[in-house]
Amino acid sequence: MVVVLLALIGPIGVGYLLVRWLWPERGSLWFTSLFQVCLGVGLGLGASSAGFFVWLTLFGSAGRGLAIVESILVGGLCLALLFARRQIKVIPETVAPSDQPATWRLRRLAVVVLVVLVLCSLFRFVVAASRSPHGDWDAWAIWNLRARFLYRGGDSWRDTFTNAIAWSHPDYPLLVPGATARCWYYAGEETTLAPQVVAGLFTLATVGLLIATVGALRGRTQGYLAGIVLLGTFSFVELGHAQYADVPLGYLLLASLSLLIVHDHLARESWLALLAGLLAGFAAWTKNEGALLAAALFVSRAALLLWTSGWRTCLREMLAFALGLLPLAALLAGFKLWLAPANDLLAGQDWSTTLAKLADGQRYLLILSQFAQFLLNIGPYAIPLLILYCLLLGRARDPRHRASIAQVWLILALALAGYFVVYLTTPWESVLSHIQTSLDRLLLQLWPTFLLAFFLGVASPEEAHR
Amino acid sequence: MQSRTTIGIVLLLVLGLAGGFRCLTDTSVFDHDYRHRAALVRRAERLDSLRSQLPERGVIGYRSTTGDTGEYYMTQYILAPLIVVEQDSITPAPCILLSDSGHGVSVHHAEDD
Repeated sequence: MVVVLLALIGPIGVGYLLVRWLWPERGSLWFTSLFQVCLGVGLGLGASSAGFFVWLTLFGSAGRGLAIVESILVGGLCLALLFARRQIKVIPETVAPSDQPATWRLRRLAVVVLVVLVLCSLFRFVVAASRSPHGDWDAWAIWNLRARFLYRGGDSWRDTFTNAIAWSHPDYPLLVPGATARCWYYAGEETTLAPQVVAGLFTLATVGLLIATVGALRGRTQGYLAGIVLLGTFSFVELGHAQYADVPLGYLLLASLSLLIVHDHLARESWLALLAGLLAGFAAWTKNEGALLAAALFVSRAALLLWTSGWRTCLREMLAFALGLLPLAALLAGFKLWLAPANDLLAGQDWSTTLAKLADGQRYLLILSQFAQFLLNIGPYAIPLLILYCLLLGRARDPRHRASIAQVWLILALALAGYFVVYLTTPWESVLSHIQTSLDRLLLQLWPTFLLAFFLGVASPEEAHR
Repeated sequence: MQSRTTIGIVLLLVLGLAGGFRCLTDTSVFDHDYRHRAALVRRAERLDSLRSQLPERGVIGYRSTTGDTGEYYMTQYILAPLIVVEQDSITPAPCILLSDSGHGVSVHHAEDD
């Protein structure tokens, strides 16, 4: 157990120190630390998993060499980041609204509820880990199966990328299996603790990041409320302990966006945009949908910058974002071109059938009705209650975040449009079966980002009291 | 305005607590299905007794009389890094029995190999 934790803490520590080093010194210390730690989780797990895959590709199998090289890298980076100093130009505006005594009592209540929900979720994680230690169906049919191939396969780890077991989606990228298999290499055995801890870290980091981002920009109570709604979404917690890759993907989208929003509102540092690009790249390295989400991030970011800052700024900042995205995009391209078998959804297409599907009006209506039904089932009924909350408190008065909020909504719209097209053209015989076995997970990938947009856009209790 | 804010916040707190309550009371995690620890351990024990008959790497066929997809997927999970390919159970290829574990799992050698 200790070795697994050490294998994870090292890279996460480097990720945390890197964000801390780049961070503009301002705002609540607690929220800032929470933000930095939660971002460290994604940066650390993403970089170590991608590094593990590169190592396997270059040297055939991992062993003591990987641990030695990683230890030197982690130690060196930690020392450099602890002692290096840098000045950051902060944007001279106070971002979070000031506290109002009238809302203190409500805030304390929100903190109590949040703590209760964290405890309930941890209880659920522990029970699930003891009852089904290998995770739910897709965990042992896809993600942990792939990790076993990477770990048990030795020099023959590439055997897993065959369409003889196409049902296990051998074309899926490897962030989650890589993180698990890397822990097993460190531990010297296959312990179910590794995928459980990875799943738990991503789930908790998603909640922490949402609280910290909303809290830093819209006030503490608003941050806590966002966390309460996310942790109160039972299907999100369930998907977290299932050991699937959907929660990590949702986290990475949220993390990349949060960094871009911090970049826009706290410090216009190109390094932050570069890290956001890196996190978007990790999203693409997590699941096939991740490439769509990374593309949606890129397009919406470019659109926002063109709209608000002109093409020169757009070019400069998109270059930084692209520089972060590029290494993972190259890794993914290499994986798809030389290792992964053809994707079932793409390989199953033929033009005449696809065109017939695109011309079928009933298909559009069916998919739309399913989208509406599944959206209503999140929570359940979280969305209608959030709409009611918005009607009660109103829209945010502070106009500074409107461009960022528009960017988040645009990403969500592009992602949903992408998912819609995938269902429209699916080679599955029954589109309904395809939807019913996947749409809930796809929507939950976007759920934390939806909550970010919602709680940035709705008036905070402090604002509503004024 | 103050009461509207309070109602709104209480609404969200109740929504959150309902989810937390479900975390404590939902029993789906106790279902005795494939994901259950016991099911996986039982299957692994049945296959372990035959593991010495199987190659360390490569592709092996899998045929089931139950047609249960979950059992097949779990067999692949347990036997990785072997590639376990599901065979046609209706018109099986001729093969020779190599070993029978005695609890429903046996290893055969395909005659055309």
